[in-house]
Amino acid sequence: MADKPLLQSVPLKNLFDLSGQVAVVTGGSRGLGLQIAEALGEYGATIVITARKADELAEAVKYLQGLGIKAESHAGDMGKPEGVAAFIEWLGQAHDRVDILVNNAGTSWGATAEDHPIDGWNKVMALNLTGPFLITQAIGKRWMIPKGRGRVINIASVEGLQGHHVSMGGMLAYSTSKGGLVNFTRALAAEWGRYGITVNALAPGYFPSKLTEWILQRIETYVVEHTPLGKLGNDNDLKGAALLFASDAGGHITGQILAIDGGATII
Amino acid sequence: MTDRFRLDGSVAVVTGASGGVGSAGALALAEAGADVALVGRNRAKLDEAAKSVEAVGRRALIVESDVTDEAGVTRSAATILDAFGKVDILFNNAGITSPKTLADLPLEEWRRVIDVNLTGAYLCARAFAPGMVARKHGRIVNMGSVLSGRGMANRTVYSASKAGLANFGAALAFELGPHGITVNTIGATVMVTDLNRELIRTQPQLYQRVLGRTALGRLGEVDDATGVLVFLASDAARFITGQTIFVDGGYTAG
Repeated sequence: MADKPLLQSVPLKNLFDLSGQVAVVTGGSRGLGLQIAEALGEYGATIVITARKADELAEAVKYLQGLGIKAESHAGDMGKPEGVAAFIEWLGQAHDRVDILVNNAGTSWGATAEDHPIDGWNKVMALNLTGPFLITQAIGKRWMIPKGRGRVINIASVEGLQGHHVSMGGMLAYSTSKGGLVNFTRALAAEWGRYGITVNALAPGYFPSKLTEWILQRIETYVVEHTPLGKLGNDNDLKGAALLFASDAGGHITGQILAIDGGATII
Repeated sequence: MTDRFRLDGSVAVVTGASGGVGSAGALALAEAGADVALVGRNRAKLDEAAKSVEAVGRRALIVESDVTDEAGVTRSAATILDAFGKVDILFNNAGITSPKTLADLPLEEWRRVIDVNLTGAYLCARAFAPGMVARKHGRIVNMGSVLSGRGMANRTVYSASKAGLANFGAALAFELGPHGITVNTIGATVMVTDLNRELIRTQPQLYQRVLGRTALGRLGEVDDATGVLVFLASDAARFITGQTIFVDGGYTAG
């Protein structure tokens, strides 16, 4: 009798390999999005980043290409249905393929609940929730479902897992939108599992960025003191988790929310 | 509607009844109409708690016993069932803590906390569940903590025991659900009692971390938990089971 191998094993480096795949990262021109784009590109994916500002996109593409990554960009507002439609149209021309979608574009609005303007609320919901819905729907329907495979990674936030004390400033719309994105992740994972598509979320804690600059000026000391690892997130802290969710290494993980926050939400 | 919160004709067992939360819980259950068996180790405190129960017109039974002693729990259960004929409500409240670093936590102290906080709840549930099953009705309420759902430095064994207690409750809810018994856990924040009142007054900095994360900006008073206790014990909560309800001024929301 022929020897049967103990495991039908694939080497780990192959499980993480993204060669030949196309990854879309919205809001990918800086900060967390750029960090994730770099990680997926380093492991072989062709990267498409979106953002509103063409000059920042050009700079980011140049940075990624400098690392030997195949990178392209599309300028547009993913908080608007027409912006999403134009992007999908462009994607069809450019690649006609998407394997990995990272819904990272997001915004915030600082205001106390009692004085929160509805315009700010609507702007946050449009980019943080409606944008991911529209992009995921379009990309899933056109490329992932027909192929029977796909990876969706939503960038939520620890603010989507809990509220926070009023001394840390008002961000009701942001927290609400991220909480919505958390359960969008679970609900969609449940619905699209049958198509071989995994849907997961990263919930970053506080990372220094343009978005968090204002709030961190006020609360950085408090955040650091109340984080078991005693530091903010850095330019490498999201890479491993993003690659895991994007690759075959995370192939049996779906509907999960992974906090990357130095332990802040477990105390 | 209000009548659904009444416990008239019910019999409740409260463990740790000599403590602040236990004696307040016993009184609240009595005010809602229940007769109460008071289980604890401090006779003088149990006498006080019994007087407060009798003062609102309910029967009180003092049972001096340690919940970690298997034979003692069996004897106590027999005594209570002899006196009252049945038990409808079990409030697993007896608990202790150990504020030590992992390096300084001796094994015997680890075991003692697990014994009181977890094994005690198990022994009491095991002693009273059969009667509840036979009568197709029962309410078990465990005294958990915010540390049933979160961690805190220097509270490893307490956190482990209270998270264990909450999930013991969830598991037991499934086991006893078919018999009409609900099992829930109260996730309380730091409660001001005779044990810590002086410490809170003289060393408030010890509690600053908790206060700074509490939306309502204060520690708990024992009566903050008794409303939930009576609710969970009553018919008003008959479709709630396996839950941990946090009574923490918003601590776990942040």
